[in-house]
Order: sequence, then structure tokens, then C-alpha cells
Amino acid sequence: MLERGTAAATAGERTAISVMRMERRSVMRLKTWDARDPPGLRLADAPAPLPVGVGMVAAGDPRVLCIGPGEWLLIGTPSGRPAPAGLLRLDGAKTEDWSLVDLSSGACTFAIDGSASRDLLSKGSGLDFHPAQLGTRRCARTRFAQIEALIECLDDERRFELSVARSYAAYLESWLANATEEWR
Amino acid sequence: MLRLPCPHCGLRDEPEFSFGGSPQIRPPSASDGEWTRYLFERENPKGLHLERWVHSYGCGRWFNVVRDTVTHRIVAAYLMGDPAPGVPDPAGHP
Amino acid sequence: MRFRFDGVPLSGQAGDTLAAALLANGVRILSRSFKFHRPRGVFSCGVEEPNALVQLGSGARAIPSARATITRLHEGLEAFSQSGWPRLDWDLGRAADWLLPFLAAGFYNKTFKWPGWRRYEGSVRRAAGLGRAPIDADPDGYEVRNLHCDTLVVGGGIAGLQAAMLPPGERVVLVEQDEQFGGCAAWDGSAIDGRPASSWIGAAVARLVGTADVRLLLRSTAVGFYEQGVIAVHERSLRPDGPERADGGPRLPRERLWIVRARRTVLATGAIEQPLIFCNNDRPGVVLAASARQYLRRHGVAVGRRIVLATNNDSAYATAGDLHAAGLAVIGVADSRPEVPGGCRAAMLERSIAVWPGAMPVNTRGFGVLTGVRIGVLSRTGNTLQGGFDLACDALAVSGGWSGQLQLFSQAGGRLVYADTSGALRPECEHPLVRPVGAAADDPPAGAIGRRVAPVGDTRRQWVDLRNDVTVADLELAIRENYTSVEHVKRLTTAGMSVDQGKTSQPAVIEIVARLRGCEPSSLGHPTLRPPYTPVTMGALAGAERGPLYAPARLSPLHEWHASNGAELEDYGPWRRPAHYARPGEARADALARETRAVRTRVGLFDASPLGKIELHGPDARAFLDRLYINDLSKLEPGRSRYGIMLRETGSILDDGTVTVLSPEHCLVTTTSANAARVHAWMEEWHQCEWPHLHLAITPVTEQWATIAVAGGPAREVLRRAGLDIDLSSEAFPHLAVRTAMLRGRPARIHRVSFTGELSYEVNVPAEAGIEAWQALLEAGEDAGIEPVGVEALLRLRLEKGYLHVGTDTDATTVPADVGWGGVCERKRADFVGKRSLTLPENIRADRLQLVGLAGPDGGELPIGGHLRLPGSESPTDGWITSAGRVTLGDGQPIALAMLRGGRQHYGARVSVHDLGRRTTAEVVRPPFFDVEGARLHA
Repeated sequence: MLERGTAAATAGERTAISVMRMERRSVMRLKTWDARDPPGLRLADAPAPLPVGVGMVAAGDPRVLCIGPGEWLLIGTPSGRPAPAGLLRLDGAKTEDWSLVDLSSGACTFAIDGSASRDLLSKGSGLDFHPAQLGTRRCARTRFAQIEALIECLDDERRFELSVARSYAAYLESWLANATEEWR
Repeated sequence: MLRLPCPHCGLRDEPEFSFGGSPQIRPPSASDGEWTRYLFERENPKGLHLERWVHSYGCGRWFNVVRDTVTHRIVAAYLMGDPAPGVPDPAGHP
Repeated sequence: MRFRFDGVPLSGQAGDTLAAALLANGVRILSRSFKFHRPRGVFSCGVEEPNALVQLGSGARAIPSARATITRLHEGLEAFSQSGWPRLDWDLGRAADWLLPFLAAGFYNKTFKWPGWRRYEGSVRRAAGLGRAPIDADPDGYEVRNLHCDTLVVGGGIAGLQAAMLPPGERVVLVEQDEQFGGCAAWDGSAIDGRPASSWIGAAVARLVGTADVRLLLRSTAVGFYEQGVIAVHERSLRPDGPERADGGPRLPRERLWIVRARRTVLATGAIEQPLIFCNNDRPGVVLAASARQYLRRHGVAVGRRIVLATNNDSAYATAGDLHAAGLAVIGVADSRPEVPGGCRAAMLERSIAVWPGAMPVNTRGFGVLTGVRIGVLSRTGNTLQGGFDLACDALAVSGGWSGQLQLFSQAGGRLVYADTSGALRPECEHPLVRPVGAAADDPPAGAIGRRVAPVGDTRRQWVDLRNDVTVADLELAIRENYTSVEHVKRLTTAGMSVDQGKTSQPAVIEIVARLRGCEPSSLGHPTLRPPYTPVTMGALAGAERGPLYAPARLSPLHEWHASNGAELEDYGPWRRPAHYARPGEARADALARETRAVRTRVGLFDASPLGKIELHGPDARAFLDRLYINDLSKLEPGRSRYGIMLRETGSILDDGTVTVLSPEHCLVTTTSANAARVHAWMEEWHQCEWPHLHLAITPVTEQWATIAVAGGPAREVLRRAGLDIDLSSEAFPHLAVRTAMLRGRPARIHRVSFTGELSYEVNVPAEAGIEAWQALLEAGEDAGIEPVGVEALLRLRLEKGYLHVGTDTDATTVPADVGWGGVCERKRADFVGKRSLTLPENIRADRLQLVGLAGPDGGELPIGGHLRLPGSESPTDGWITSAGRVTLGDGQPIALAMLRGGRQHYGARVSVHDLGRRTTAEVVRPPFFDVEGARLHA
């Protein structure tokens, strides 16, 4: 089993792979009624509207991930409070036809770093992890090690975050410990 | 394993999806016989087949697929409510 | 390197295959044949090997039916023959050979019919020599990995290396099943561009290794081509030296299965040499000519001392030359073609090797191993003999042409056709995803081929498929019995159906069937070439998904508390939950009785976190739910809940739970723990596909909350003591209401809802605050005698109240009227999913199975699954018990819920209960069994 907050596996000078379970952080799910015509939603003080296009990620605090048509995750820093509903502004004067639900307590995220990150991820999912397909600031929901997961590629192309439902955390820890054995 | 083109997420493996069968038009005022046929009877064509899939492990959206049941070639994938692009509708749906 | 075969210590060279090492040690007999127990020796040098199958290792790491021809020798290797009793060289099963006339095709299906195949299976399998599967759990790791590429090149010979040299940016995967790249060119001494092939290969591999986005895999076989360019690649022997690396190197899995998604696939799979067919062509010492050459050039091993060659094409002459150059006695080359090409003839003349044109072997001699061969001289037509002569030899190297390896092309849907020029299958047309190149695509450069099957001789002794012991006589029988398609002939005779998948038999089968039917081989088509191309271990297919990783277990946010407080954990659907909390020395039944009693007499605490929870936001949320539930939700006020049942379109019950209106545009539904994902998917399907105009968003929130149920008379007092800051009186907070409150400084959502029949609250707090809230409630309930209770106690308490457990008491045919909810459906005016089906004739029959209660005899037991019979019934069954338990207070009488034919007409009747030969009786009663008025619920 992995120690929380400690590197799981290192090899040589350059870390082949490290896996760390991250602290709880704010996760809000934003969804509009009509997936076909997402309104021009914008975070307060943000220069641009929310990213449109499944898999797109907009940097910032909170970071905004487009995870489906008309559906976004707002991910805050570990210390951040859940984004209040007032954070959202609508371009165009329609009524509030969207919902914002706090999912912070239900998620569990592992930070994956190292030159073998993509090899590790390819053991769990049939997604194409090539940088041209899942590069910096891209995310994808997929089936990973038999369970629903969200995978996000961070700024550096060796760094990923892997999020699953909290109830699977212990299972996924065992799975990751087994899958990283070859780099230990 | 099929690979299906989700209109939102792109080409993904079959285990990420769930099959929804062929789209059925619900008869508004049906006799018991018509209703039973609607519930239980399905075409099993050799060739083009209209079917619904949902990207359960991805964006969660339902979409339509035209698949060749002989070659497994995916002829088209399109959004719910959209007409099949350039494919004659074998069931004669409008 | 030291190794053992059947316990005999032997030694070999590093880099040898097991087959090469055995040949070098003079071991000629490696196995006994499948049906007739004839002695068999090494026949080939690769994956096509039909004879040299051995058992490797012992104990948990044993591998049955390993091909000695591709098994790399390592220090201490243990191999065993897997057929032959009592010994390989003195096999009593050999008697089967004398019975040969009786063991014709279809013998087993025709003979072992009565009284059933199982009666014979054990001894027939032992005799067949299929090896022994290890019994213990495999101690090694395996994995499945995914790969994407633009071009997959299968085969790392010259053609494959050339095909892999693609422009930069192209993502390429090159797989080679051998230990090294280069194919035959790596050892056959040929030259490329005027320099030795080995240096060309080295440069090519170095260039590929240094190219970004190119991945090379050795010891890896593309075993199957699936829809749309998905190819399975089996990578073997990642740890050839044993499981634990002493040198501290990477702890690799033993094998991998790569699932490759390729836009294009290039098949540089080469060709496999085919045998000639003549009497007793299966004798140890008869080998494929190119294999004899590979053993010599690659391993320095001679297949014999006095060698005769027989061929129907040019390729065997290279073998003859090499064997001669190595100083072995090459007696001559029999070539079944009337005219031998000048080049071949000249090369033999140079070495003074005899060449006999228009000649082929017609029989062999020997006891056990080969001692001689009879060469027949073919007549001008080739259909009769005009003479012959005998030769003494200890090896006969044969070549019957080459067959391109196009299995993956066929699996991809490409069509193959038998080509007379090569005597093998070749692509009939192009395929959009798969392109064969090199020897796999072309007629191999071995010249035209001559006769492959001897025109005379006892066809019962002419082997076509060595592995499955199929002879020409078996094919003749199949044709006599009116099997006409090669596919059917294959199924009757089993030709090509063993582990080698007919790699050295299929072209000959097609040729012979065509001759027997008097038609062109090209008109016959070919049997299906199924995956896998070579055998794949179960471990590689399973990958990491075994043991604790076989099925992901979900754990509640309170799991750590349960695990350290005596909970007996069991799997309920995907959730691993406390069945009960055992005290030291306490039996399960006693713990269950204690926990149920605690709830009925004092108060219990139950972890209900796995309960499915789904939030719906939007102006149409309530209208949407009203269309999905049989219950009328249109007048449900904010702050109130209602029990609800949802149906499939067929009218059968899908799930049940509560629907709560939190605010006019915000609803929360609960589902059974097992069905949470299904109900969410169901809602999304109806919203997206049927009612996209309804304005709402659906969000599953099961994981967000820890849900703790406090049940029992003092529940209100426990909540108050825990510091809940709201009015809990029944007037302010009635049954089926919801309130938000603060619990120890955190926001909590409290539902007054009950699954036990007691006064009960469900406290929902954010998951990470769950354990703190659980402990606070335990502390607050200490004076009231609170106890944690597990799933089993809860299920028994709900049984006492007659509450439905969907999936336990219901199945996919149960409609609401069957379980007493017909009236609700009839009263609801608005349409709902499944409503139309409720009036179908089948769903309103009076003799449907209906939910009833059963009261069993004192001191007896009512078994779950026990079948019921009504008094005087002629039917084998009138229903069955779905849930069973005992009443909590008093005498512990057995009670049950059951689905009984026309059940509600039979209250008061006594039914007999039948379970696994035991019989008892019970009285049909109307549930519930406890607190019929519900006084406790509304307390």
C-alpha cells in the first residue's frame, strides 16, 4: 500500500514513477440544462468564458475542466474553499439554467509523476496517452483499472492527476502498487 | 472489442460504452399486441444497423451509431435527435 | 548449461532452444502421438512444431504443452514428456497403433457416446498427453498493456525491418516472436546490399531503437486481429531466468498481453515450410529441411549423420549444401519435380551430391527412430510409380513448399485463396487495414512446386496433421461420409484443430480434399483461421485482474472504523460492508440476534453510506421524477420525502427508494446500494433520449456523503445529545421529512426515514466527516445502550416489517401489483414509465407470483430458495422463499417473505416447503410480522 503523501517508487537519478495520494481539495461540478447550446458561462474576474470542447482545461484557481458537453469541473487548490455559486457569471441575460454541486468529499486523486507515467497509465486504460492526444492541459474521463476515472495531464507532460470515486481509493492504491512494481 | 467514435470524446474502446439497442418509436396508443412487439421484438439485420450507445465511462452522453453488422465498420456516429448523415434509414424512420 | 529431461541430467549451450539442446544430446523421441501413441521427435524449429510439446517446470510455475522449439534453455531447466506410459520409450499406449484401423476420424464422437463422454474423458485425456495444468495459484505477475500506433509491423525479419523504416513522426510498433531480429537472414549467411545481412540488421535495429515513437518488442507474437485494427500481442518470458531477479533488476511481470490499436498493420510474418506426405512420414528423424538448416547454422546441431533430402521445390538445396559443408553425409536429394532447375542441379554437382528428379519418399523404415527411406520414382504423369530404391539414413529432411502466414489477414476479414503455384493460401484481394509483405505475401522464391503427396501407399499411415494424428485415410473417410466443405472435413477429422492450428497441415488438407472431390483446390475456400495464432497463457489474458484486484471493492467512508472494531466484512454488490460486528467468541447467529434485539429494545447505529444518492437540479426536476416513479410526486412539498418505486418499460420493478424535494428546483432521490449506477444511467437515458426538453441536471452524489442511520426508540434523544441544533419533535420533524442542521460545527442533512420500522433518522455528513459523526453518535447513545449493527441485522429487521428488498424479493418479472403496490399505480392519473405495460394480459393474471409472508414452525427453519407447494397442488412448484429470518422479540419464530402463485388468495393456508430434500410446512400470512400499525415508526 502507498503511504499517503510519499513517493511510491523511484529508480535511479531521474524518477521513473512516483504516485502520491493528494489531499482533499475543492471540486465543484457545473452542468447546464441543455448540453447542445451551452451558454457563455464565465467565472467572475476570468478573462475568457469556460473552455468549450470536451477534454479542454483552463488554468487558474479554480482550474476548469470541460468533462462533457455543457459540463465542467471546477478544481481548487487543496486549501481552497468550494467555489460559491456567486463566482459564476453568465454572458447573456438568461436565467440561471445550470447547477453547481459540491463533490469535494466524494473524489480521491492521485498525483502521478515520472518518465514512466504514460506507461503506467497505459496499463489501466485504452486511452491514447501520446502527448499529441493527451498533452498539457487536456483531460479525459475513461475506464481505468475497471473503474470510472478522470485523467488530467498537467503542465509538465510527465505529470498527471488520476481521480476516482472515494470508495475505490483503497482498491486503486493496491492496483497502483502492483502496477508500479517494475519500476521499484 | 469494437472501437466507437463518441461524438464528444473521439474514438474510444467498447468497454467504455453501454449498448442501448436499436431506437424504437413508442406507439402512442397501442393495442396489447403492438405494445408487446414494441417492448420485445427487434430486427436483427445483416448489414447496416441503427443503434444507440452511451459513453458511460466518458462524457455520459447518448448517441446514435450506424454499424455494419457484417464487418463491424462504424458507418456513422451522430447526436441524439439528429438524422443519420447520408445513410438511408433502413427502418424507414423520418 | 545444465538441464533435465524426464529427470535425466543433460547439458546444452546458452542461446539454444530446448529442442536444439535435446537434439544435440541425441534425444530423438520427445513425445507420443495424440491418438496412436507413435513415437515422435523434433519436426520443426519454431511455433509450428506439432510434436515436441513438453511440460516445463513443476509446482505452481509448471507450463503444460510448451513447444520445445521456442523454449529458450536456461540453467536448471526441468522438462518432462507429457505422453507415454509407463515411459516415453516403452509406451503401452503404443498398442493403439495396432488398433489404428479402428481409430478413424470421428472415432471418439462415434464411440464414447454411451453413457456419456464424461465417463471416458479422464482416461482419454491422460492417453492423449495434454500435459498437467498447475493446481496451485500462479506466484508470478502478469499484465495487460494498451498501445496505440499508426503502423504495426508484425514480424522483425528483413521485410519487417524495412517496413518499419517510416518517416519521422510515424508511430510504429514492431513485434518479433523470436529472441532476435532479422528472421532467417540473421543466421543463414545471406547478404544484403553487398554486405553480410547481420550487419545490415544491426544497423537497422539501431536506427529504429533511436527513433522517437518507435517501439520494438521481442519474444512477442501478434496472436489475434480483432475489429477495426485491434491486435493482441503476447509478450513471453520477460523473466527467462526465473521469477525473482537475483541481480536486483526490474521486477517485471512474467508475461504481457499488449492490446494494440493500429491504423495500419503490415504482416511481415514470413512463411512456414510444409511437409511431404508419404507412408510413415511421422517417424522421429523426419524433419523439415529448413529447420534442419537452422539447427545447423544457428545452434551448430546436426539433425542426423546420414541425411537424405526430399523436396518439391528449390529451398531444400540450401540445406543440402550447408549440411554437406558441415561434413555430414548427404546422400542425395529426391525432387518430385520431373525437371530440377539448373542452378540447384549445379550446386549439388559441385558438392557431388546425388539429385534424383521425379522422385519422392514413399515409405520409411525404423523401430522407433528412422533407419531408412524408400524413394519411389514417379511415372511421367506423377500418379504412379515406375520403380524405387531404398536408402539407409538417420534423418530425412523434407520440404513440401512454403505457406505464407496470413492468419491475421484472414482474421481481419481478408479473403485467402489456394494458389497452385505455391501450394499455399495467398491473399485474394487487398484489405484496407492489413498489408502482407515479403514471404507472407508472395509466392516464396523457392521455384515452382512439384508433387507433395505420394501417389501410392497405405493412406492410414500417411500423416497430414501430426499433432492431432490425422491421416490421409481420415480425409478419405470424411469425403466418403459426404463431408464436402473443408470446414466440415476439418471438424470431423480435427485436422488443424490442435494447439499448432494446422500450421504444417492446412495446405495439404485443402489439396487432398480437392483431389478426392475431383475439383480445383482454389475453389474450396479454407477453414476459418481463428485467434490465437499461438497459445496464450491464462495469466496473460487475466493480467493484473486477479486476487484482490479481480473485482474492485468499494469501501464506505467509515470503513476504517469498521475494520478496527470487529466488523465481519462481506461483499454486497460492489460494496464491502460489515455483515455484523462480532464480539470475541460470539457466533454469527448470536451476533445477529444481539444486533437486531439492540435496535428493537434500545437503539442501533448503521452505516448506510452505500445507499445510492442522486441530486436533480432544475425547474423540471420534480416533473421529471413524476414520470419515472409510480408514485404521485406532483404534490410533494419541499422538506418532505416519499417512498417510490420505478419500473422498467415492461412494467417490472427496477428499483425503489425515497424521493425528497429539498427546494422547488432541487430534488434528492435515494436508490438501493446495488442499483445506484443503474438508476443514474436510467435517468440520463430518459432525459437525453426521450425528454431532452426538460430543464434539469442529474448529479450522482453517493460518494459525497457518509450516511449514518440511528434507529430505535431513543434515536431522537441520541441526536439531541450529539448536539443537533434543530427541533426533533414529531410535530416539527415528522416521519418522511428532511431538515438541514449543524452537527459539531459541520453542515448535516437529516432524513427521518426508516428501513427497520423503528423511529429512525439518517444523518448525512460530508464523507471525510463521517467517522467523527459516527463516533459522536456512538458517544451520545452510550447511556441508551447504542450498538453498531451490520447489514444482516438490518435485512432481518426490514423482513419483519415486510419491507421490499428489490432484487432479493423481486426479479425482472415482478410488477407492482405482485408486491401490493397495484393500487398506487391505478390511482396515479399521470403517465409514468412502465404504466402501459401494467395492463398487458400477462401482467394481470390472477395466478401471478405474489409477495406473501410465511410463518414457520417453532424451532424450525425456513430456507431461502426453498420451493413452496399449495395444498393439493399438482405443480412442481408454486413459488419460492425470497428472504427468511426470525422474529426478533419473543420466541424467535422463523418467518419469511415468499413469491407464491396467486399468493394473496391463500392467507391462512399451509404450504409445504421443499429444500434440497428437506421438507417442512409454513402458514401463509399477511406481512408485516411486527408493529402492524406502525406506531414505532411515527413515535
